[in-house]
Amino acid sequence: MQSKILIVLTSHGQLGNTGVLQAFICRRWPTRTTSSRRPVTR
Amino acid sequence: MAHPYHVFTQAGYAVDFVSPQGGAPPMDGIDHSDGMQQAFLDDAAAMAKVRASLRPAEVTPADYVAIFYAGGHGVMWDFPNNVPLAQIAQQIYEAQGVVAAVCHGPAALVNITLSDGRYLVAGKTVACFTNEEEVAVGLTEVVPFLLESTLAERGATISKAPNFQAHTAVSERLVTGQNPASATPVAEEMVRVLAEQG
Repeated sequence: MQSKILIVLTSHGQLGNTGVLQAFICRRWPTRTTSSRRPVTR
Repeated sequence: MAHPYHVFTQAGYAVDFVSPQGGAPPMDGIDHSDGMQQAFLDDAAAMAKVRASLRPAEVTPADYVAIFYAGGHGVMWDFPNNVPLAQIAQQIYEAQGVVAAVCHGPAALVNITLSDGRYLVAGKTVACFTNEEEVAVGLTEVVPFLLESTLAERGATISKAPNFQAHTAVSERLVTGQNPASATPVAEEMVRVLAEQG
């Protein structure tokens, strides 16, 4: 039988502009960034 | 969350979603220019599961080999004191499963205790959104508690990298990551630890 993983998500809406902030962080320091490579800043 | 989901499914795992209130969680921080996020949004089956996320009472912990707490500032309010979610994580961990969290997701860990009464994080190395990162995003006075400080008070040894650099910590079957950039590495470490568990 296929093993299962449970992902837990929030039910709490983000605060004010926090969601925008998170999107900013994700764009600027994308997930593929690794600890051996410094983020690219413009 | 889209990136870990991709790692899990590519590794052959099925994925279910749960949230404190069940149903459709708030969708925020979406970056449509991120191909993997957009692919997740376009995956009708995955999105249907998200919109119909389980309530904690609907979860049977024995069905899962791992639990992954996603991040976002909102979790600082609804993860720490959710007893049913904590019990699910405790049961998965004590059944030799993996507990994982990224960014602010480790907020879920602050009140998880094991059967012996000790905090799950006590004596373990943990990565989380750091106090310095909270300062950097200007929310130190907004969040209900400082995640790094609270985990340290619970007996965790904090492991961290410079702000917003990907960083993970693996301590027994507890896998944690520091920030959004750490989401994929945490998922990859989870898959590795699960493979080692056999």
